[in-house]
Amino acid sequence: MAIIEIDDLSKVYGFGGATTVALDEINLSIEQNEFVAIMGPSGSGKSTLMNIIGLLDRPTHGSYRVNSRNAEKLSHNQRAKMRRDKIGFIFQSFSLIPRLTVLENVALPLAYRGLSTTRRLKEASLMINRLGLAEREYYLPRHLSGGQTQTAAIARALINSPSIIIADEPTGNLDSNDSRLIMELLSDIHKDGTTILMVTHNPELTRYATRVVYMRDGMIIKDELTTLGRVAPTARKAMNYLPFKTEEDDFAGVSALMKAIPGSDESPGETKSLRRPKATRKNKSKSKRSRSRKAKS
Amino acid sequence: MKSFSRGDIGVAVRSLRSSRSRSVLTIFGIVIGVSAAITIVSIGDGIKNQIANNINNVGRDLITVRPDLLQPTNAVSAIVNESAPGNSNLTTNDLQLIQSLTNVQYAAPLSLLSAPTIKIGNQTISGLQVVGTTNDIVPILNQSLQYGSSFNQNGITNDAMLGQGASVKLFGAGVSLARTFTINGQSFFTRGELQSFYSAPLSIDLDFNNVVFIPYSMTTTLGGGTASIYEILVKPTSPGAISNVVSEIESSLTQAHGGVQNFSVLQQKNSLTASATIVNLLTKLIAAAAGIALFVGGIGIMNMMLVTVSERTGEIGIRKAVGATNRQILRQFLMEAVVLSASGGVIGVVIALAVNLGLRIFTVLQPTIPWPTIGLAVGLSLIIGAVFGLIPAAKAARKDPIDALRHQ
Repeated sequence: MAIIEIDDLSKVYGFGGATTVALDEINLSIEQNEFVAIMGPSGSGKSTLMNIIGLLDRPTHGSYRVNSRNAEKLSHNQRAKMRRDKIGFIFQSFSLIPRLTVLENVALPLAYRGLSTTRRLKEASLMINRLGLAEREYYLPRHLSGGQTQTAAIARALINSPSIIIADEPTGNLDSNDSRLIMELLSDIHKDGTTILMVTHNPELTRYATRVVYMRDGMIIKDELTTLGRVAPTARKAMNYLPFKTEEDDFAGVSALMKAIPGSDESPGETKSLRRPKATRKNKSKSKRSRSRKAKS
Repeated sequence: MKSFSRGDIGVAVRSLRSSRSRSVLTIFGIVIGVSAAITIVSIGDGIKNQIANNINNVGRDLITVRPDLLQPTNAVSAIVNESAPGNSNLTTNDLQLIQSLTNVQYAAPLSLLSAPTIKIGNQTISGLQVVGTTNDIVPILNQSLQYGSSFNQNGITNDAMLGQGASVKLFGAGVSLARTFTINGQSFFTRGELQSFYSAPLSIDLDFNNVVFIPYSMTTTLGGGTASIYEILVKPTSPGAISNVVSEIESSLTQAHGGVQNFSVLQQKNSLTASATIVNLLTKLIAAAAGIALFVGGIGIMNMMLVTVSERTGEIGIRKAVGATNRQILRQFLMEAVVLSASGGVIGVVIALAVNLGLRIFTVLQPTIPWPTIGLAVGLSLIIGAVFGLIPAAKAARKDPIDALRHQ
């Protein structure tokens, strides 16, 4: 039985003539314990799909069943409880509450389950220990490195032992060492039987996935199974276009990747113009640097 | 759910601490409102108690006859109408008339000497009142002499009895008996010193502690021939005879004054009413001001919470993503508003208690600690937090999680 079942699901923003189709009649079925990497250029609907799967958003039409329950029929409260107990979120920007210590951040989902303060801090501490962050328990998020912050966020996502982890570019703000650390962590979680959905721009990371879904313009244009430990065949083609390891190059890589997929009409001229519209603060300086480097060459 | 609400307060305190100066400024209105309300009520109650004590000390059966018509229900005019010495229409005849009534045990005049100059040698002593009276004043006021005796009855008229305060002002800590001083140039001899009087602030009666009592006949001499009787104090033979005596005095004096009742006969309960009216009026006025301060404080809290909610939109998004229901978000922010205003209330109570203590130490006021008012003030500040925190909290709860997450 599939843990996630999506049938003819669409999401439309706006009204009348000014509508944007974010998701266009998507069909997707994900089994328990799959590690699905979702790739695609900005605006292809990846995040919208993640938000709907994560019960943060509702589709305009189509059906979505999670854990055999029809998401459409869930009330506000039931959705919140599903998010709490069945789904763990990992965001690109870490999304820890800056005022709270690592321990308190990790314990946060337990608070909404009604556990006593002592118990939830105890459980959070155990989880932090498991992920090797024990010495940083009482640190505030701003005193941690990127990798440690994301590890804390993962601890928070895992604290309620969810069956699905939704990771939206979990390594987007991390350097390659931290990226590897985080991906190994996700890989371990996957081995424990958790279903993972990960949005990424980096074809390299498809090594950790068992399945890669390519999206464009709100549609799934390719869906392939891959072998763990190897870059997905389609993604591999794009690797040749990746001379640098910067985020912007990742985008270039994805664009090239899109070209490699049969049926995609990406032209080489458009490749350069594809840039993320909302770069995070940390990446801005990075992108500037790479841009100026390009201008020189 | 229950265990969550226990942690709620801690969470609220933590987030308020993170913007400490803003929180402190916000609760000022509540602090001022609560402390003002409690302080004023405690002073008012204290004064009422003190006046009641005063009356119990001199006895509830004391009857006061005053010139001019007093309106005991109108406290302000009761004070304003207090006739100045010199234009009294009570005379020695009236005094004798009252003394002759059957149910009257004692009657003594109080005659204020206006602007007396009191000297010891060449040194002028100020701040004392000179009152002409008779020896009856001592039993009438339920008083006794601490030292010495009352006026000599053998025609010697320059005897004086001192209140405790007057004694200290004149002779310091030393012995006052058998010492001399002058009033308006006339030499006086201290024959007795009275026990301390219980004096109440805001009372419309004289503070007898600061009075130099001299024989009534001397005020006529010192005042240049015109002695005016400020009031006549009367003690009936028994407490049960009060109303009889009052009506007898009224009828006989009206007759003596040619059918015009240009005086008033007051019982102690009237005096209590008069003072209580002033106190109650003041209490109501200040309570209204305190109410306005609380309201403004509530708006301040709402304002701060609205800012907080929009500042912490990202946090709300995160909390919703990890499973907080709308209700839990609402509760978190509502709790913050309540903790904010309740801490304002508690600080207000602490300030009020400190002011209370200060007043007890440094003034004659004996404010009570009005526990019901304290409860009311703290309860009210809780309610204000809940009411004014509701709109911001609802705004927080209604936020769309995706928009909120994007807000980081």
